[in-house]
Amino acid sequence: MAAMSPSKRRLQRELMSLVREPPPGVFVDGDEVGQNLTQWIVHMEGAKGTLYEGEQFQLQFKFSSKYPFDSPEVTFIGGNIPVHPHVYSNGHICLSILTDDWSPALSVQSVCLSIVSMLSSCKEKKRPPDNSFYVKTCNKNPKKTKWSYHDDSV
Amino acid sequence: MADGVSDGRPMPRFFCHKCSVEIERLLPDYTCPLCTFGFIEELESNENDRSPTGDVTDQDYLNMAFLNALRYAGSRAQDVDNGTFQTGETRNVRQRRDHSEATPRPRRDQGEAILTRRTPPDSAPDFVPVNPSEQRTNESRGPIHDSHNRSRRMRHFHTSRRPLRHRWLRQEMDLFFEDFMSGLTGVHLRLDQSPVFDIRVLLSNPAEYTFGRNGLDTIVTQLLNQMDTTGPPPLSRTLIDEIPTTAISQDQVDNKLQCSICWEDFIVSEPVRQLRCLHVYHAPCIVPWLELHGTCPICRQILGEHDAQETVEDTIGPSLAALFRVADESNDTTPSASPTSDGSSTGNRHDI
Repeated sequence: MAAMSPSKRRLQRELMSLVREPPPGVFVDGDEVGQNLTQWIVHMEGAKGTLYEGEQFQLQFKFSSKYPFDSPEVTFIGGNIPVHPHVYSNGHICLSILTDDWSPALSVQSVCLSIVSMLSSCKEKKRPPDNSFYVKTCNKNPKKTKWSYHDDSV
Repeated sequence: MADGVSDGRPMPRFFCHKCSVEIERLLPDYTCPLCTFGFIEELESNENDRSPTGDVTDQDYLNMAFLNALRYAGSRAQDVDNGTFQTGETRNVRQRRDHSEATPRPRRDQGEAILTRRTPPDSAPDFVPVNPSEQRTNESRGPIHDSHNRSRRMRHFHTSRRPLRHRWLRQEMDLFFEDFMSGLTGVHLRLDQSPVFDIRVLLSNPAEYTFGRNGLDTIVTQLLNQMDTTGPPPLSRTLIDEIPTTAISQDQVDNKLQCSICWEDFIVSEPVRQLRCLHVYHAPCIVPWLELHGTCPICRQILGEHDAQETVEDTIGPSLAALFRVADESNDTTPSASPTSDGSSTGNRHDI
């Protein structure tokens, strides 16, 4: 632990915290993530009483060496990408804390909670209106997208 | 056209790239009857070749106008820098345009002349007799390596079998990008010789590329992203230095207060920086953040307000410098402030 970079130390702490006390509906495989701290897979399930109840999702977090000063790159991956007005079919998520509103006091856990909350408040399952255009033209890294955040309701 | 059509269906046509000729028929194993090699291309129906006017659309003229306008602007700028540009550029335009004109026009007319020419000449041979880049190469260079020469010839023949419209635009594109790149770099590069990559693969319709749907926006986004300056602006160095340093109290330790950036527990009497909002952090934790964004990580209070002018002035330089610093430091281990920390209390973070 002594030889770890600040970003690794912080990620190690986050991992321990998340494994020990995961928020409801969030699961992370500590051994798997422990192998490579810079890329996590977080399993998430749709909250009860919401449109996503019973659904399983996977979130991928990628961390640069500048974490936590630099936000993680967070995308949905796997076979089930939630159908949501802020989630593109390629897994990119339009969420301000992932870019402009990132703060180093945020964490994997707080990002997960924000995403669960974003899903839970959804009223109608549909893709973003510009989904097909965006998916065709965007960079692989969602952080390269210049998002404009305009909808605080969902 | 009649020669290529029987029973209303176009006859298949083939081109042997080894012999560089069109061949009438193929051997059964799909090889050339002359050289028996298999480097054969099936050609498109040649109907379009004979009717260039029907194939050149208004959009093409717009593209041409666009290219010429840019080329003209570029050449004017280049003229100021040096005289080398003029020779290649004017000569090539004339070669294609002025078959019927003995006297070259003044440069000023180029864009306009091509713009006003509403139809290309009717007969293909008159219109595209020369691959301009080829001719230029021959003029400007002495002996040319044989294989190079050969590949250029192949390309020439190859493209000359394409529909006329395609060839015509392609040549314009070639010229435009040679000129454009030479304007940018000061080096006169020739696309047909570039061994590294062909810039044309990046392109579709040039007008659309720059100014079309979201084109400009994409470029701006790209530039902004390179700067990585999304989010609030950084805090100026002066203001960062003015942030008071305090010591951690026993109370704070009893409350298991942690630094929200490194997640280490504070220890008694440890020096920390206290922001206006009273949130405290290790100096090595908060300073790199403030050099990127002048906000409190916990409550997001903007810290630079009463000195807005200064913040704006030295925003970008420090911001970039901070970025590099963060990247550098993250490769080292922390020399700082945290001998405690078994990580046991991380679930209980307290943000003041």
